[in-house]
Amino acid sequence: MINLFDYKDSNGYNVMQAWADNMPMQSRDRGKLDNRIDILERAEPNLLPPGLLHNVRGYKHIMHLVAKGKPVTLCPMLCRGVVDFQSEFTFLFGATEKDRKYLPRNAPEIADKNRDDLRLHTQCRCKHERFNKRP
Amino acid sequence: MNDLTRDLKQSFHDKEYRHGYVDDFLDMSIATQIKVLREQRSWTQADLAKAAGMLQPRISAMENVNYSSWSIKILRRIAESLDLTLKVSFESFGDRIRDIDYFSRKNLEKCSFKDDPYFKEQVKDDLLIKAQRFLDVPEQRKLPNLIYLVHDRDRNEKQTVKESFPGSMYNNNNNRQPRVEDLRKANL
Repeated sequence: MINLFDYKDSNGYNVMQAWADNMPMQSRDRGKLDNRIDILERAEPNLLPPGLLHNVRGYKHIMHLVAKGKPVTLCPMLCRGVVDFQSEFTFLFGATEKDRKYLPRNAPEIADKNRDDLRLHTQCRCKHERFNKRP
Repeated sequence: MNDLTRDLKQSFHDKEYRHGYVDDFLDMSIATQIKVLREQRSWTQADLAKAAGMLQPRISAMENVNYSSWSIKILRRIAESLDLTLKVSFESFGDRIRDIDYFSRKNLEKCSFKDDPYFKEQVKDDLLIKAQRFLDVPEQRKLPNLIYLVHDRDRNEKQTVKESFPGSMYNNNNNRQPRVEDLRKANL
């Protein structure tokens, strides 16, 4: 099992849950996204389904998970670790993708900045909670 | 019931959500199982492509969880090349939640016909019956150890030769119960 975490900013604000709450996401797309996150969480070290995570070009440690939806593709950004690189992933920033471009455009940069912050302050994260669970 | 199962049980009341979830799970599980089955046989993508009469890039595309253009015809070809059978069935959402819960490499792995324990057992029973036909009843009682010796050689496993003794058909820690019908068949 993989342990999943969400980055919390300096105000203790869970940026991922805020993203999911504010995203005009259809139920079907939310189902897809939850499935992918559930599979990631249940992945064994020797069974990370191919294509589940994509590296973000230009950012060595940042990856995104893709859930194709309408009208946009959901792609929350995450990284391995940051405490245990074998058994942890931390969601850093929520982004979408349209016409192969991230929205916001600087999403990878923000995710990378959040990762740097998290490496210095490892308490700036909390256990990931399934998006659909939120009211 | 674990947390995931409990959450899904609640979330699946939304029709759009549950269809989005399981449709995506289906694509992911097929893609992942093709990869797992290939790796179980120590095959490369090129090996599988050759066996299925396809090109390697196609196998690569099908092993990606974002692939969704499945056809039964293609899946049958993959199944035949792996010497497996394809099962397509309509399922309730409750059954699907169990599949999601059991998603693991171990559960995705499947034996080809030649390694299928069901048929290995059949071969062993056939050998026993054939051998019994040539022996009288007191000699038949010594047979099980002989049969297991042959079976162990087939599997290239460490040999353990055991003393045979009368009155026990299967006395070699396999937890098999004596099967009277085998002896009866042999006496015909």
